Amino acid sequence: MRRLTAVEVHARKIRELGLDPEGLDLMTPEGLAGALRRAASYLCPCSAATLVRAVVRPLRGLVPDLDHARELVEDTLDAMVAHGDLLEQPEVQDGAQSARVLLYAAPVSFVVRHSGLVVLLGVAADQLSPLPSELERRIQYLGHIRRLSPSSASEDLRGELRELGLLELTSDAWLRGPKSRTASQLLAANDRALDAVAPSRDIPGLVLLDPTKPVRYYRGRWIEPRAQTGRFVARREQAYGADLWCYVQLTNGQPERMIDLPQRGSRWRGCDEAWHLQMAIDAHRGGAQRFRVTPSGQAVVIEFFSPAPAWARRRWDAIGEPVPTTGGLFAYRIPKAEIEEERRFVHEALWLEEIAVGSR
Amino acid sequence: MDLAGWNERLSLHFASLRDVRADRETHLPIFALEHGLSDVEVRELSEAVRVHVRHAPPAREHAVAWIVYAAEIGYGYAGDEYWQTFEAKTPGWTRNGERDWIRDAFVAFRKRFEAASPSGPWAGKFSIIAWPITHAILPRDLQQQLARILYDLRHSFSAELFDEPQRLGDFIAAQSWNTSARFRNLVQAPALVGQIAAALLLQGREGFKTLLHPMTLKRIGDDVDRERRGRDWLRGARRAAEERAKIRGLTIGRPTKTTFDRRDEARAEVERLGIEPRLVLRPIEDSRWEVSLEIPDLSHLLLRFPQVRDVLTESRCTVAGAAGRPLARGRCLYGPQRVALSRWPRPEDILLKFERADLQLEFLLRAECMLRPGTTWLFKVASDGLAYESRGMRVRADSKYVLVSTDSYASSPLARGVELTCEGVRAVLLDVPSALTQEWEQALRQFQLTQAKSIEVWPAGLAAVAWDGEGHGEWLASETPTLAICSDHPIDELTIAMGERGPSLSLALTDTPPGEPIFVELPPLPVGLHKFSVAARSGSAAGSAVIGDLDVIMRVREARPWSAGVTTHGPLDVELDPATPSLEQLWEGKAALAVRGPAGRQVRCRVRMFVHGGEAPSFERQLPAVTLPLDSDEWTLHFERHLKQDKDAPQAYDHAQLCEVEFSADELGIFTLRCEREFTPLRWALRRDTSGFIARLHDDAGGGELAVERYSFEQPTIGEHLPRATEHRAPRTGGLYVATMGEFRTSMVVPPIVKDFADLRCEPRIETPARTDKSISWLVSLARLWGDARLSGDLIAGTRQRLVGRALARRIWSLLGGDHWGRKEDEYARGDLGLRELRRAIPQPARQHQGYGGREALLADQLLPHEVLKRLADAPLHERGAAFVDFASKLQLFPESGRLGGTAARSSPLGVVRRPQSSTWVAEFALRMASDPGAVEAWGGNKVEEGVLQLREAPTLARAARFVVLAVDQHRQSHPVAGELYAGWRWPS
Repeated sequence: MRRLTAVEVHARKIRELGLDPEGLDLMTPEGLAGALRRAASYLCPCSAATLVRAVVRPLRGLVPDLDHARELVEDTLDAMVAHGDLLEQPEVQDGAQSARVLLYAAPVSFVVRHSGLVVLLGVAADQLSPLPSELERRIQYLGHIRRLSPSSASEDLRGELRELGLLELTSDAWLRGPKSRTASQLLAANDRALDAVAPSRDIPGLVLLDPTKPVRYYRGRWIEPRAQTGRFVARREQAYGADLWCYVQLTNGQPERMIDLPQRGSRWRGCDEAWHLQMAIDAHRGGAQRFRVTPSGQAVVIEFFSPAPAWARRRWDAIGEPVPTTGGLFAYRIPKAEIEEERRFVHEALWLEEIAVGSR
Repeated sequence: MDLAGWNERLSLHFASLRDVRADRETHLPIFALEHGLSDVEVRELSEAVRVHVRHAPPAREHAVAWIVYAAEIGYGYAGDEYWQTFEAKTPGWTRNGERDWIRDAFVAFRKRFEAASPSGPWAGKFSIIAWPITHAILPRDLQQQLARILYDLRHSFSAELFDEPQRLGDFIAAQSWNTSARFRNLVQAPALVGQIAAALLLQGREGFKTLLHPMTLKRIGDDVDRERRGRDWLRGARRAAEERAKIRGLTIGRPTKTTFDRRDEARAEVERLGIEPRLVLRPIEDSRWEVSLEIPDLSHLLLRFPQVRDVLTESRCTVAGAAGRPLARGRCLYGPQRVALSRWPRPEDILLKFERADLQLEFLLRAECMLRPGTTWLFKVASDGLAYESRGMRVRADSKYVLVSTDSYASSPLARGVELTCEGVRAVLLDVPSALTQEWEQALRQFQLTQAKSIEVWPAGLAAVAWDGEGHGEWLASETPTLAICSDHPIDELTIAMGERGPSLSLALTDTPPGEPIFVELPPLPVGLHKFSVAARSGSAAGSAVIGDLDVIMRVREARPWSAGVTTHGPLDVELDPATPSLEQLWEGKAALAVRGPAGRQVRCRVRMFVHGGEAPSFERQLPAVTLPLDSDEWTLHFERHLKQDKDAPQAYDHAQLCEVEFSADELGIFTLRCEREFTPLRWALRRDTSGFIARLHDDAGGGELAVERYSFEQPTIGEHLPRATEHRAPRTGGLYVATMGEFRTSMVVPPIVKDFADLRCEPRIETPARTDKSISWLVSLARLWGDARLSGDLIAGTRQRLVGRALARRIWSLLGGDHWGRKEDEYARGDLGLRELRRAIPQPARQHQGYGGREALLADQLLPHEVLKRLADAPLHERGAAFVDFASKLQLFPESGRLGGTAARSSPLGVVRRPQSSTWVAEFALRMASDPGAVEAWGGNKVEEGVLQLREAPTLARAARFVVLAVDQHRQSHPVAGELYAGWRWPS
């Protein structure tokens, strides 16, 4: 039994997470992701708030600002859910599905890229690793991402991981997005769904994503309804639960029709459908959302100003590494060789416009 | 070398092996497979045995050679049939050999060489083949399973676990409850399994060199390595074993025992295991909170108390206060889960109650699975919105609490009443301010709460597995807990002590301002309960005063073994009942399977059948995807429509030893259900040639008088004795084949050969016996004989089984319901009478005037009116049952004893002591008897006779029950699915 300093606590716990205390502490994205995976291994299924609480509470006295820590934990958790370590699904109780959304631990699984690189996903109960220690030691931690590279051209990582009982997800299944559509087609499909529902009355706690606000400041686009008329991506309050995503029609600020997102049977989260729909709305209005590409040594950094659906973020999780951004919402460093394909994807699937180099 | 030569060489070898092993303190037995012969030598020995037995019976002077020969055949045994293989490989054996001779030879071998002896229930059932299979050590088909289970358990290995084979074997046995039937048989001899496992894991290390003969061990190891998966599992397990064999005192292997001399020892052990259910409150809408019980993973109980395994794995569990169905068998062993409560459990309720009463388990559960005693419970509202039970009745400033009590609260302006979705308690919300006023202090006293002390403790850096915020927490044995300790007053000294003789730490803290936490790393803690006392002092050493103290209770537990596939914390949830259904149960619709997950998501479903495990599948089909959630009835229908009606499936089923059903949904996961053929000493198999079906009896029983009978579909109550042969060519009309040997009985429905429509026609004839209890009992036993029979893959076998079952049920109800009812039911069955007319045959209850306050006589049509029946037809079984109880109570249909639900005992006409059952029991008995009389004995046990007497006393109730069954069958407008005699009446077994 011995007394530890705060620095020593950081180092011990980082080591317990299988990470290197030389370069990381509990507030780094890698440390937070490790702590979240560990808490999820005990607590799932549970709400996102429960997981965040489980990670933030033990940081008391170890970090200067707990509120800031909470924000970082929430951001890391969002990235992990988009990545596929945790799955956001409606709660199932006694066979019936409730409106409450919970986080479930994804089965321990992996995706093999064409290059042979392996992306590890999922959480095992009680934080046990199904990997033998020599493979465990080879895991590369980049933010919330865990990767394994073949040690030689002949190493059959796929076979080895399958034999160990990990579930293989094909790259296509992991990266699968909605079917290819133009922004107008996606908008029209949602409009048809909205036309088909019965009129709704007051919607408590409604906030809207204002398409007229600048697309480069996502948080500033959220407004309360006043006298708006039109159709909006929105969030609405839910008693004792996370806000729900919806698509709503207003006349003079009064809700007339509303559909919840995701639509029934969808494999995407509500936010994935909502963010994609907002991209379509912005593009359709002629004010497409933006992205920026800047060189960074042998790689490039691709930077975004609004959130992107999980199926888009997974692409960049697979080929790049998350890096901090100033002024943007999130960014990835990716190899130069990949950038043209990603530009094409961002234009065609997300309808974003690139900011010319040099402009801020 | 001749057989005598082989015998002599082997005798010398085994004697030497015996002497080496006798040196070990644990006196480990030797096995026949440890013969030390090379492959070539084994072949030569086998040839010598065969040459001898072609012409002469086996001789005592060759017994050791024969034993090695028999064990070698056991090594390749895969659960199909031992003697068939033995006879095929040993020409002349049928003529010159005797099975009993082999057993006697093994018994003599055990005595002479201190060799292994089969043990456990399976050794009793398979009293001869248990010997060669035990002496085969680890037959090939079980090797992969053992490798897998050792891999799963690798994180829990310790030096102590390897010290005693029995302990390691118990540990493996505890984790084997959901493995194949054959593997479960193997672990019935835990000492032997422990010996084998320790040898596989640690052979070559000092102290483990003599566990098994090196050549034998190498052979088994090489065979495991043949499959890459097995090789990786064993390699991973070995690596962990070598690392962890150095560790003492940390894990499950710490000195302990699985039987406890004293009851309080057992209770203390249960407390250490951490299986206490936790109450959690969740806000759901304005001022309403849902109460749920988090049920722990009870698999830890299996490790310490293997004797309660059968109840935990084979019995459903009811949660006190929960309104839903009981949890499926084995459900509590897969990980924690939450169940909503609609009623607050009573103080005397054991929170988890298993259907099969077991006094030992009940005693153990009383230690931990009850509500915390008292009338008031405190829940702290956490930042995630949920309220978690706080064990000390202490509150902290600036925090919210929900206080729950079975008593009424005196009104207080500081406590806002909140509603719970749970009857039997009241609750108030306390929003404790940051500074307590006098009014608050008074209110807290009124609620018998105290303010938390000035000292606070919490897990630092990383979360504990559980932490209640006030000093109770749970960690894994693999972790090193670190605590943060903080005082809101200036302190000069902090003392942390673990028990009287445990480690302690005393810190001078003159430089630590109030509110600043200090961090303390605790030593590694073994599995169990640990108490740390934390005391904060102020002042100099001589005159210091304790200004705050707190006890921290830490429960340290094992991590649950990881295994691939679906888990309780993942999004795909598969519920199976029974937990490990056999191939026959799957095919015959007697296994309940439900898959839950995100509504609307599609799940792919693939079925593969194997003639032998480990080989390529003999049949493979991708069934249409199912949509979540999938309930048990939908699954049965899906399986029947898309698999059983596949033209190749029936034949594949008849030949299959194993069937795998795989559900997969991309990122949600994969679940694979493996169903093996039942492993019974006596069983029928069916094959077809150009002239028809041949029923073959597989006999692995230890001996006894064999009797074989055939019952035809046309006369299903009359058994025709057949010769005592193992193969029987069935007539074109098929029938029920029944074989009995000693205590074992097996039956199978052989379908008729259907060439044209005429072959499909069949009308079972059952004579009406005298209306006596004995006749009813005889018909019920026949219904059971037919109902329990295994079905061949051919779907017509099931149709015929149902046809006979219905005819028997009709006859039983003509005895219970009376001649008039019997005639009307026959007319109804022929289609000459409708439901409306049949309803009129339920006479009006004699007591209706009392029941309806003297209103005008009830018309027959008012009994179970059409619209009520139609609604009931689509209702779940338990709702239908409740509606029937309600209906029968209103009309006072229950017999006097049933209505009163009294406890007085009286004698039946047969002299049996009768204990009247409750109305609910009588109603369920009536409905079960009316819908599936063959299965009623399995449910009612020795109360069946009593139930029959009650129905005979209340014929109107009997007829009403039968009518409800027939009406629901008709209203469902669908044919009964597998496992049902009447549509909609599939009872949980």
